Order: sequence, then structure tokens, then C-alpha cells
Amino acid sequence: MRSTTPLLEVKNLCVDYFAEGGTVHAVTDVSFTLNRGEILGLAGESGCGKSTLAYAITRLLNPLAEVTEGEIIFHRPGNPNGSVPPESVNILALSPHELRTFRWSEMAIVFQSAMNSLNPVMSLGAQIQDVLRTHRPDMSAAERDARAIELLRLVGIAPDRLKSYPHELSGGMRQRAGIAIALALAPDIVIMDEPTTALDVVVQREILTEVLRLRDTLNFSVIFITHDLSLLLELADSIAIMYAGRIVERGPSRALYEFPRHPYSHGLIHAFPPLRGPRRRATGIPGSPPDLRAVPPGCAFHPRCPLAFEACHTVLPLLRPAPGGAGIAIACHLYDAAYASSPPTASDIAAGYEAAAERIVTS
Amino acid sequence: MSLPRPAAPAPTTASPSGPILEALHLRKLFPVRKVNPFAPELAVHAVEDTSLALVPGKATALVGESGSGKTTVARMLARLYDLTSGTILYAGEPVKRGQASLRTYRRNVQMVFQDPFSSLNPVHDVRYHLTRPLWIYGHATSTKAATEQALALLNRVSLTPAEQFLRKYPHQLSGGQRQRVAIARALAVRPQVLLADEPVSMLDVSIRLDILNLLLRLKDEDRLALLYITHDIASARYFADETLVMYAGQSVEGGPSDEVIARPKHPYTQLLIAAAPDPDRPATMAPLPARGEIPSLITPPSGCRFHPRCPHAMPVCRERFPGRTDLGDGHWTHCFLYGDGQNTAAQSAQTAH
Repeated sequence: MRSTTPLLEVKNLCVDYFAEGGTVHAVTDVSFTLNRGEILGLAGESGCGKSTLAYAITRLLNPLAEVTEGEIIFHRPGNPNGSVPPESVNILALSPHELRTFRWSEMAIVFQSAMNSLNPVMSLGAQIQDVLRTHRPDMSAAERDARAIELLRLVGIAPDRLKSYPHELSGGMRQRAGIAIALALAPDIVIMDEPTTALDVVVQREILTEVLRLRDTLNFSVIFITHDLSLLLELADSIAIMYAGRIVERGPSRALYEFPRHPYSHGLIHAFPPLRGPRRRATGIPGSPPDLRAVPPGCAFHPRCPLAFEACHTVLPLLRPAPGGAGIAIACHLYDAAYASSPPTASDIAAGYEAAAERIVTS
Repeated sequence: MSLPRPAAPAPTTASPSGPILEALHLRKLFPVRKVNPFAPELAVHAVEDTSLALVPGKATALVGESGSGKTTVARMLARLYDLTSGTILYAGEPVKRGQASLRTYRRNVQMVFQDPFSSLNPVHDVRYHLTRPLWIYGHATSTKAATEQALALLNRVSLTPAEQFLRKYPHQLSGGQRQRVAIARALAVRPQVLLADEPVSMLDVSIRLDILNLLLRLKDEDRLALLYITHDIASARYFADETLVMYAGQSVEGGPSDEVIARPKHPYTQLLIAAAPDPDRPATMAPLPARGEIPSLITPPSGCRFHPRCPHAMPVCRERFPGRTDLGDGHWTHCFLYGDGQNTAAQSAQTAH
């Protein structure tokens, strides 16, 4: 299922919002590769730029926001029998007409709030048919009907719900319907922007199981955006952690979970109390995320980092392979031989957070 | 509001180990507005027969999904909602209806709300939010004393430098800082009981633990009896000594948090734990034991409300709600799988504490 064929490459992407109070650098110098069949998790707190990144990839940004730099390359796989050769296209350079054919049939998006992304005055069936009628004009009405039923079955909704309106469905069913509509044209990439945040844990688990099953049968790639890292660790193949518009750490989810190298990743993973194991005191990350209009110089995380030293205040760390490998890339001076003689261990970072928590309590 | 008020009489305290606030058989129906005057009376059966006890210096967690009735229980305990039936005992005394008793009650029982973006008044600064309860409850009799106490409160919730925060307005604060102000405001009353309704669910993930740790520290310092309402069962384990699980208005299981979460007995608790994100789970994405969502509470399922989803449902589950079965070590459940717990309402109330 998971392969090493790159499907989507994001290179040095920067997105700015030209707001009244100054330019907001929502996404800065973000690069990553998404392989066919891979689930890539994008994690970070609110305001770290993860949704902006998703909208930039789908070209759904509002006019206030602008991609100032970088490119997004989609590797169109071509036809297996060779009639259509594989090619690479820059999504940012697509013309409006090309964009219309690219969206939905090659890349689809599932939004956070299914209630607001479904049309309240159209039945579920009509909304699915709408997509098919626009993008597959050669399909007959009977074929469209059959496809709509097939899609609902795929996400576990009874076909008699085709006539239901969104308000007649529960939250979980609406989100499933959103996924069904996104999958209508069998896209290569599905972007999911916090699809389960508004749902209860049991429903959330059902949707995630569904996503995994669909990925295994249909072999599409997923970019899954969430603030809940503990959820991503179970779902995603690889994870990119964003802070203040930049990716600070990226790697396979197992390796990331076993040893989160960046102090921010460490703090984020340990911000969720574990469900099993000994009960021990845990600490959050001191401070709060920065205002993106005035990102701190150097490493944006340094005001909250328990292990920050002089260089972090002035020199911007770049994403580079971490020593010791495991496929992890990290943007932190602690892992740069030019600044730190030996990289910290997990217990060093934990001790740093402990000490920081003590300082706050005693001050 | 600047009138000096007489100092409050010392709150009556119960025996040191006994519960300070007890709720017995709380029940709440919300009438549904009718369009047709001849239609039958309808009501949302939000909470059915829930009992709980809050002990000084201990945290109790109330866990459930949305629609489980957990917030309704908290609001009844805060006396924001009237009870349909049931009793609330404060320090062993039944709480009376009426405004006079409400003032005394609120002196001892305070609430922290879920959303710090709407629980603070946007047109008032932090000083106003903190000094108002000080005046109302007679803890300050001069502006100087009120300011001093407000500064002390800000320091206690780790908002430093306190002098700067005193002059700030809610829109100038981050979510975590607002929630700290809301906690300080509740503490200004010097309560014995603090009801925290999902105090961290609206906050950024990285600062949630700091707020929980703050609440734990305040609980220990003031020997507060703390009710922590959450949908996140892992945080209940971290935070609370006792955990109570609710489903569709019925309390289904309770006991020491470690025990309930490590050895869940009720099928719903098992489902909740199986569904919670857990990177250490041995087999990834095991199929869930049950599907579906919380049913409509206007026409709730008969008997045990979990029976339509329960993989172990028996005919009797449809007929009536099982009594409480004690499983030892304070762990109890309402489930026919573990017995009927023939002890009736009166008996189960006695074993509640």
C-alpha cells in the first residue's frame, strides 16, 4: 500500500497574509514530500499555519493571502497501460481551467465542519450527483445513481440516506458524507483539515478506522491536519510538526513518538496524559504560541524552549537530517554540531521541562 | 457595590474526611416547547438519577461524550439549573431553595466555565472581574484591600507581573491567561468546592496541562473539593482521584480513576477507552466493540440507554435500568453483566460515600 513513489512535492512554500496590522507570515519555507498511499500528519497548535498550508496546496486561499515563494509539484501518475504518460505539474501555475479538472478528480479536501461544508438545502444524493454531473458529463443518470450509492456504502452510510438533508444526519454521518463526496472522483490525494475535531471520541475512532480502510482499498494519499498529536501517532505513517509557520520536525510517526527530538515536539507529545502506564506528573509547554505578525527572531520557539541557548535567539535553525538517522529531519541547534557538542537525550529534554515548570511555580 | 459588607460567617465544615457536597438522585428534564397545544408533553431527559459526592482535597472527574448530561450535572450543582428532583447536601445539610440560601451556597460553591472567551466580560478589566466577588462576598472592605487581594490572586494563578495584568482587558489576554483569570475570579469568593466544566477543552494543547496542574496545586493548597468535567478520559486519569462515567444522562460506572480506567467494567466505559487515542495501544486500530452515537434524549431508549449499542445486551436491559453493583474497592457499575445490584435507590445512596 505505502510506496516510495512521490505524488506531491512541496518546495520552500511561503504564504503571507497582507493584514492591516502588518504582514502575517503564516507559512514559511515549508518543504515535504507525500508518497502514494501515505498518510502524512500535520500537527501543531492553532495559528501555526497548518490550515493555511492545506489551503495553499489546494489553491483555496482567500485573496488576502498570497503564496510569495515556492512551488507545489504534483506527479501525475499517468495511465498504467502507457496511453497517458506520467507528468509533473506545478499546482501553483495551473490555469483556472486546468484547476477545475485538477480539483476533486486528483485532489479533494474534507473540511473541519461538515455541517458548514454541506449544502443545507440539497439532499445528500443531489450533492454527490452534482459533483459527478459537473466533472463526468458523459456519465448517465443511472450510472450517477449507482456511483452515489456505492460511495455511501463505502463510508458506511445506508443508501436510503441519499434523500436525506444534512440536518437529518448526525455529526458523524455528516462527516462521513463529506468524505464520501471528497472520494466521488477517486482522487489521488485527500486533504483532511481537522475532520474529527468537532466529533466525540467514539465517532472519531470510527471515522479514522474508515479512513485507514479506504486508504488501503483505494490507495490514495492523505494529508491529515490536526492539533491532536496522540491521534496522529496512531493514524499517520509520517508526521510533520509545525510551529509558527515552519516545520520544526518531520519523520516516521513511530520514530517521532519513541524519541521526539525537537523540544517542541517533546512538549507536544507529552502534553497528552497517557491512558496507561504509571501516573506521573506531566508539564505543559510554558508560554503561548507567538503572534505571527511578530515572530521571535532566531528559532521562533526559543522564548518557550527550556533548552534554548544564545544561538537560538539570533540564528534561524534550518530543517536538516537529525544525527542518528531514523529518517527524521529537525530544525534545532541542539542537533547541530556547530553549536552543541552532543545532541540531547529524551531525558535531557524532559529534565529541562521539569526545571522550567519549577521556575514558574516558584516565581 | 462599593458599600462595605459585613464579613461572612465562617462556612460550616463537615467532618474532615466526609464529603462536603453531595448530590443524591439528581434528575433533570428540560421541557420541549410545543407548537401544537394538543400534542403530548415532551421533555429532554438530560439527567436521570445521578449521585455523586465531592470530598475536600480530592478531585472527582465526570466523564462522558456530548449529550451525556455531564454539564447539566455541574450546572445543577452550581444551582444554575433547578432540579427536577433529587437533593443536594452541602456539609450534610439539604440545600434550600430561594435567594438567601443561594447567596450562602455560592459563597462556597463556585464554577469555572468551559469557554474563557465568553465567560469574561469584554468591557471590564481584570481588576473588575477579581474585585467584584471580593466586594460582594465581603472579603474586602476598602479599595486598597481589594487591590491587594486581587494581586495576590493573580500571583496564585501564576499571572505575573500581577500589576500589569490588573489593568488588562479580556481581549488583550490569550486563552490560557483568560482561563487563569476565570479561575482566580472563582477563588476570590474563597469557595470550598470548585466545579470546572471542561476547563481546558477550548485551550491550545500545549497549555492544557499547565492549567490542570494549576488546578491541582490550588486544590491541594486550599483543600478544595474539585469536580472536573471532561470528555477526555486520559486527562481524567491524570487529574482525578475518582472518576464517574455518564452515558445519555445515566451514570454507568464509577470508582477510583486508576481502577475504572485500567479495568473498565461497563461496556460503555470499555468502548470509551477503546476509542480514545492511545499511541501505546498494542494492536493498532482494533475494531470498536460498538458503533453509533448517543440516542435522542427526548425519546430515550427504555431501560439501560446503552442497550441499542451494547454488544452484550440482554432482554432485561430493555426493560429497566440495572441497580448499582459494588465491585469492591469503591468501584461500582450499573450493568446486568455484573449483577442486578438489587439494592434500591435508598440503599445505593448510602453506599455512595
